Amino acid sequence: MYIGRRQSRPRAVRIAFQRPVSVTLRVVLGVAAWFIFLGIWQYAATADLAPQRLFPPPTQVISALETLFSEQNFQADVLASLRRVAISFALAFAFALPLGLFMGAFPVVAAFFNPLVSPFRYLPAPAFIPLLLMWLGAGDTQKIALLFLGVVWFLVTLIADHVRSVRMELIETALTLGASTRQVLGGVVFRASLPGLVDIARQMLAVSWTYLIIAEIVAATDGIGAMIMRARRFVRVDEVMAGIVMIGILGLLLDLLFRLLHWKLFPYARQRSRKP
Amino acid sequence: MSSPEHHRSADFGELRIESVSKRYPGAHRREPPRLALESISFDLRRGAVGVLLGPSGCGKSTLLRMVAGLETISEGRITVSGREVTGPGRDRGMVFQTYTSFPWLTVEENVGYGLRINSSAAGVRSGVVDYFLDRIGLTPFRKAYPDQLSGGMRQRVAIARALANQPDILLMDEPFGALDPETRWQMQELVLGIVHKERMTVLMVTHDIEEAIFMGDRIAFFSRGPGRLIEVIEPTFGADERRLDKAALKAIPDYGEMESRILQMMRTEGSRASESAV
Repeated sequence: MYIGRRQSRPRAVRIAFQRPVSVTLRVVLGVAAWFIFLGIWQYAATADLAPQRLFPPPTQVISALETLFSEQNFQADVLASLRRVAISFALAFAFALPLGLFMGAFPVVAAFFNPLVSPFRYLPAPAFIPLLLMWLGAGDTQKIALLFLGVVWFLVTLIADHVRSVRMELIETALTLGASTRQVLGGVVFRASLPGLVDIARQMLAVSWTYLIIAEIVAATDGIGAMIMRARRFVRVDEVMAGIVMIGILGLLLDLLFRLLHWKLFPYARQRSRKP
Repeated sequence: MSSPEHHRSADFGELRIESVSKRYPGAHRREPPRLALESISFDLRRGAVGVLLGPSGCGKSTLLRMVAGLETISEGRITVSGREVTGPGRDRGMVFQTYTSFPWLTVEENVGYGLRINSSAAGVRSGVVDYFLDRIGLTPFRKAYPDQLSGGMRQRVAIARALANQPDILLMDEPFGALDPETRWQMQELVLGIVHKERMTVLMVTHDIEEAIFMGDRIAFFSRGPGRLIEVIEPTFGADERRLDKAALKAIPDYGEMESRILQMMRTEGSRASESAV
């Protein structure tokens, strides 16, 4: 039904402002970038520029990652980390969603909460670590609390801003069709912001990962961050790097998962997102 | 249409605007309130098409929004079917100039939205939706999402959605303003056809003189600064054939006369307002 504007075939000059890139070319360029990056790394590591113990090549990092999984029960650490992110993020989102929704929908609610929430965003979450250690001890609760504090105020602000951007005409249309305040809030304001909310969750989840490692570096016995700190003590640079690679892979997978969710849940938004 | 007539009151579909004024508070405390509309009175009987016409800034959209219940009424009162307007409600369906289809609903879900939230039985609902989809010629597109449609199609969805909700009166704020001339013409004929068949009362805002004469049984002409109703024009010429199509309308000699007279009024209003602004 919808016929997108087809781009004419790219000519010899491929670099031009705003010129869309074909799928094939995009894949080729993406793979090439990785090959070049890994190639330079491999070369630099094997060329004896630095002691190999401190700067291992990618091949050694990958085999370290394999050994971690097969011999040192690394999956338990990965699961512990995933669990912390999942619990803390679910709690933060469950807290931020109603607050952000009401703040975005009703300016009077925003006028009350905004002076409170906005300054909170400028308090760096790691600054709370000593407090949290004293209050909650060194266990999981403290780590989850840190992760919660790290994203919750940003989530509130982002959700409120996004909800506020729902077009007034959509709200007024629903009102003239006889919708109640509750129906407008749930059926129009929330529903219209939903695709954006999934995007916000995807982006803030990445922030949550950064706080995870900070939380696990401080007094943790399990988790990816704890493994990295253990490996550092024995100067196992390859294992430290393997841990970092694992975090990257998990982040990427979660990002893809949320994109897939967005694609599956919002078929009507596909056309728009496909446009360059 | 499927809705029963028997429980409707004698003044069903009647619009009464009685000495309505709109005042906006000043931007700061010392500033006096600004009078946007001054003592407007205007009536429509059931099935009539009323057009609010005038230069931009004359408050015609504000008056329409007051009938919809989306703006407060500073003075006077508005009744629809004898009930006083105090806020938005399903008895006054509204079509906006911008596209207002809910993007997450398909065409048929959009058309059925009003009936669904007012908890009509699913059986009744699908019958009404089918009927209006057919009337607007979008039955083949019922499963499509609004973003896949052209502007004219989306506006047809908005009109069908308002009509399917079975309002007492249909309000339209420059509904064809964003469409190209050819589509606009088709839409005007389509809407008139449906509206006459359903005996639907319509109040619409436009700045297009041709559209006003073609669609309107009663044209309220506004001046600005503050908005006043200066004349109600009733195009009586041609009676039935006026409604056949636009070409027939333009062939009537009286049409040209009326068009140039309104154009003259627009020009006078425009220059008067710009003089007073100096």
